[in-house]
Amino acid sequence: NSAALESRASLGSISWDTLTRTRLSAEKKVSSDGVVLGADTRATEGMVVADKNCSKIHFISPNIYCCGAGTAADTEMTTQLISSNLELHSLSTGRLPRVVTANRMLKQMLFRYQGYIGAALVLGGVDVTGPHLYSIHPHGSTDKLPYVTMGSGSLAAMAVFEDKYKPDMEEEQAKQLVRDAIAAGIYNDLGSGSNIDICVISKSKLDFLRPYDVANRKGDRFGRYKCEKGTTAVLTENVAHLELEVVDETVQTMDTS
Amino acid sequence: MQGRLQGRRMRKLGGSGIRTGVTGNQTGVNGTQSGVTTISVCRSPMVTGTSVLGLKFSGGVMLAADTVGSFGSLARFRGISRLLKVNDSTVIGASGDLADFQHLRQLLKQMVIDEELLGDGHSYSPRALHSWLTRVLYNRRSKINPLWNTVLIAGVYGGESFLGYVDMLGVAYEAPSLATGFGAYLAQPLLRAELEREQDRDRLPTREEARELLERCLKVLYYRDARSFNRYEVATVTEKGVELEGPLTLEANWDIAHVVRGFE
Repeated sequence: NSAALESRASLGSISWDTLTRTRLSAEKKVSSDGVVLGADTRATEGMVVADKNCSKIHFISPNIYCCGAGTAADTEMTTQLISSNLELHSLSTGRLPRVVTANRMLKQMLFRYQGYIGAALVLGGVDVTGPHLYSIHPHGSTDKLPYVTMGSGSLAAMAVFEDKYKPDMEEEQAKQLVRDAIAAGIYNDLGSGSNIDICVISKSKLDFLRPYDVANRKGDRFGRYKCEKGTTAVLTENVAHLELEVVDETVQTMDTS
Repeated sequence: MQGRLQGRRMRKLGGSGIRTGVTGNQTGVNGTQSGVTTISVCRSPMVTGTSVLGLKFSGGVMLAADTVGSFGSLARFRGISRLLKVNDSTVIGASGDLADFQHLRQLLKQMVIDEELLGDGHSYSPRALHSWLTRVLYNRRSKINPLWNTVLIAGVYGGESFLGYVDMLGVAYEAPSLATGFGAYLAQPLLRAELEREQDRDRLPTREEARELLERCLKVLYYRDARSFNRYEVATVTEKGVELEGPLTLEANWDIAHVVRGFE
C-alpha cells in the first residue's frame, strides 16, 4: 500500500513521501465475556520513526474501542468522526451503542471513498448482545472473527494467534496472548516497535493499559558528560556594566475577556 | 510481449520477470543486431515451491518443507521433494523455481560423484557448499540471469552444526533459525520467540522440541500461506548422519468455522 503511494510523483503541493503512516500490528481477541485489543506504539514516516510512543487504540464509545493501522491521519479522523456520530446516535436511541453500528458506519464511509482513506481498523467492544470483534479494511470490507490482526506486523502477530489461540480463554491468558502477538510484530517487523498498549473491554469494566509492556527501553547512559564548574581555570575577570537609559515606557493591555 | 528464439543466448520472454539487460529489439522487426552478443533475459518462476524452514537444535540441524510444486495458484505437483541430501553431512532445501532447483540438483550430484572418485576421504562441508552456492547464485544474478531459488543449507561437520541461507540475489547468511518465502513473515517470529526466550537464551531446543516447533510452524503456514500444502518432509542432520522423513501429513484444526457466521 505504502509502496504504491511512494512511487507516485508529487501531486500539487502535497508530497506523498511525507505521509505519516502507522504500520502496526493491531490485534484483538474475544475472550469468554470480553474483548482484548492490543497495539504497538510506533508511527513511521517512510523509513524514519516519526512517533516513538503514539496511541493507536482509539476511543469510539465508552464500550467500544478501535485500533487503527495504515495512514495515521486517516485512522485518527475516521475514528473521531464515527465516535462523534455514534454519540449523537446513542443519544437519539437512548441506548448504549452497539459494535455492529460502529462497524456499519465505518465501512459505509470507507467504501464511499473507494480505498483512498487508508484506514485498516480493528474494532472491538461489548454491548447488550455480547462481545464483538471486527476487522475493517480500507476499501470497506469487514470480517467478524474471534481473532484478527492488521498492519505490517499482522503476519507475525497472526502466526502467534494461529499457534496459541484457544476458544473461551480467561482474561489474563488473553492479555498475555495479545501481548505476545504484538511483541512478535515489534521484534520481527520494522514497521512496528516500541511499547505494547492493551485495552480490555468487558461488560463490567474497561481497562485501558498504556503502556502494558515497555518492550523497548531506551538505554541508560553510563557516564555524565557535563564539565563541572572549575574545570576551566579562570585567570582574570572583567565585568563591564552596560549604561542603559530608559527612553519610553508604555503599557499595552491584553484583551482577556 | 513476444520474443524470438534466435541463437543460443536469447531466451523466450516470460510473464512478469525483470526485463532488463535486453539490448536487442523485441518488436519483431528483422533488423540487424550488430554488435549485440549477450542477450540474457531474467525469467519469471514457473513451477514454484513455497517456504523452507530451518532450525538448529542441540545435537544438529533440522529442515522442513512441504511437498507441493505450485503452478501459480494451482497445486500442480503434490508429491515433490524439496529437500535434498547432498552427502552424509549436509542437506539442502530449496524454495522458488523448481526447474532451477532440479538444475542445481544435477550440478550437486555430479560434484559429489567427482568427489567420491577422488577417494581422498574428504567430503564437502556444509559451509563449503554454502560458499559454493553463494558464488553460483551471485554470479548468475550478476549476469541478469538468476537461478530463481532461495536455498537453506543445513549440516553437521566436525562436531559443529551449520545452518545457512542463500537467495537468488546472492544474499547469504547464517542464523540459528531460518525461513524462506512466506515463512520469513509467519514462521520466523515463532522460531525466534522460542530461541530467544529470556529464561534459556543460550540453550538450543532438544530434537523433540525442535521437531514439534517446526510442525507448529508448518501448520501456521498451511493456515495462512495460500500456496502451501499439508503434506511435508523433515530432514534431520546430526553427527550420525542425515535422516529424511516424509511425506507426513499435517492435522489442521478448522473448528473456528463453527464460530464464524457472516461478515458483520
